[in-house]
Amino acid sequence: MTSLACEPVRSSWTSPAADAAGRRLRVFARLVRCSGPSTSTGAMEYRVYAGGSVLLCTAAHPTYGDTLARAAAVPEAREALARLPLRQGCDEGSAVLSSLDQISNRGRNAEVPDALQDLAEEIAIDVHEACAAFDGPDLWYPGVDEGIEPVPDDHVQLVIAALQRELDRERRNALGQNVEPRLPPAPLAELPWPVQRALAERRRLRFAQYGIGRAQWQSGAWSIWDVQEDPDWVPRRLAIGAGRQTASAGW
Amino acid sequence: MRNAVSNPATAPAETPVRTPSIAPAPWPERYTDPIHICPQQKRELASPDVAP
Repeated sequence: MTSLACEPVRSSWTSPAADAAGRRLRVFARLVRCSGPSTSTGAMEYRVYAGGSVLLCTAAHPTYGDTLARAAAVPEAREALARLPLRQGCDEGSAVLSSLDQISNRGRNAEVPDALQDLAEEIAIDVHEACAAFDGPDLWYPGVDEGIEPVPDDHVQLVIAALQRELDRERRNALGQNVEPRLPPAPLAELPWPVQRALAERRRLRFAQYGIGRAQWQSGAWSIWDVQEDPDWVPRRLAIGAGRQTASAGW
Repeated sequence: MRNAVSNPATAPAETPVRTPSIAPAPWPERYTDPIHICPQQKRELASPDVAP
């Protein structure tokens, strides 16, 4: 397991190693970059940026762990990371959808920010696991009983339609390559209803693990301080990469 | 060696017709696997325009 906490902040926004642990720390690593001491200004300090703004200055090259701890303690830095945009790649008019007739795969729809790539990967894995029901309708694919608000049936349908919209956009061959013969998108609405419901519940849980609920969705902002710390958490795609079963992988 | 001529007094035994069963291919052979789509498309798959 790679220790992200002890790794010096990189000079560019890059992805943490696949086996780097820590749910919140992994998000943080995608948010910040560090510039070295400036020789032109004579300022012998390292600057940590979040977006285009300076978050912190330090005399020594900071690590991700140190920087996150300092950001939590410095009010200005803490505030800067407490209101981050939830959506990118869309205009405000298409930022929030609440009914099936608004779902369209024309044009481009909102995506979660790069810092939430792990969240996106987790949801993709949940969809992947749900699709096993195409081969076995009795698939054991548990939903979520605790920790989230119940998901109404009409919201399950809305979520499935939204997921389908995106699956329709990118097709791959059986090896996952972006070449012909590309396979059709998985028809999620043909999954057994309990699996569709469980998938929508899992998606709600995933967002909750990143501190995103209805209030954050409505405001379009999220806070890194609401992301579960989970210092030992590693992405499930690590298990997929190792060829292990993921159906019963931990949350 | 069995007599190849069947006894007309005996009803011929019915041989069950067995159509070869074609097991459905595993689903990743039929549909694009969502874990294979690109990172940006996965961020869109999260669909932040739809409530959690």
